[in-house]
Amino acid sequence: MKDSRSDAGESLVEIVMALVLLSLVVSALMAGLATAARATRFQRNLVKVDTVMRSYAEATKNAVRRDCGNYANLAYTLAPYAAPAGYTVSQSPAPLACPIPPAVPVQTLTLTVTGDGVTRTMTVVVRRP
Amino acid sequence: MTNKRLHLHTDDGAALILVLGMIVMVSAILGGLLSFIATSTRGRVPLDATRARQYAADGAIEYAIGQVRDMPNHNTVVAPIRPRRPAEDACGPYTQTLNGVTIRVDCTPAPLLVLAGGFPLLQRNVSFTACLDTGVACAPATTVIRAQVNFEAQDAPMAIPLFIKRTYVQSWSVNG
Repeated sequence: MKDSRSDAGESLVEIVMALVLLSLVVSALMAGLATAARATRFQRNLVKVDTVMRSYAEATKNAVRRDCGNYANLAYTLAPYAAPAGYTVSQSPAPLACPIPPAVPVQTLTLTVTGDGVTRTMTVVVRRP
Repeated sequence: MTNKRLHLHTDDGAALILVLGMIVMVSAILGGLLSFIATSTRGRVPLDATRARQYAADGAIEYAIGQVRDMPNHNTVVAPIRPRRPAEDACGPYTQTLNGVTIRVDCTPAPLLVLAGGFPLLQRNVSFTACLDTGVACAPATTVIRAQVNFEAQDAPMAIPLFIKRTYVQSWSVNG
């Protein structure tokens, strides 16, 4: 009778403790999974922005080669380049003036790409062919 | 009584042990997740560095081409027809810092005399090599971009000074 009373409620206490610990463990696991998902999404966005940045840089260099190769042109146009939906691109300095040697042998441009909550900048150098 | 005690003793703390085991297991899973996050984050760093280095080398070579094109003697550095003056052979090195990377560009005149319609025609070619600037000339193993460019002179090729009308990239190889 005495033993029986001393054991009373022991399982309940264990179960409650186990539930509390389990809750903590599951919370930590969920937080870890959420962090991993966020990190993966962020990395994917970085890769996408990086891809857009590379194609924007190549399009810019190509536009200078194409339009500024004709010495009658004083400016180049980025058409037909269009940034993917959800991304914005810009370059500085603007407007898109052709570098004209010998006064301006090369033009240093800072390209900016924004999308998916990520902004990246990169510097490229263009010149007249 | 003895049986009951034994039975109680056997079950005592079983749930706690199970939970502790689960904590260890979940900790291992979390450790793996964190390791995955850290690895993927670290993985971006060399990729970003590679892009920055490649475009810096690209820009530095473009800059060097522009400099050679508009050298004071208008690129006579690559003209082997008449005796060169020492200053005309001074081609680079050029250093440029772009995207946080300092690049050195070495250039080497590589003129070529070809026959066109029985007449000698000078091809003003220059080789450029770009590498991370360490204060020494670019070696093949450290070269990021190697390019050869042809400088087309104006219609009167013997005119001094020469004016470069157009440039042609003959080769452009990226080494990572």
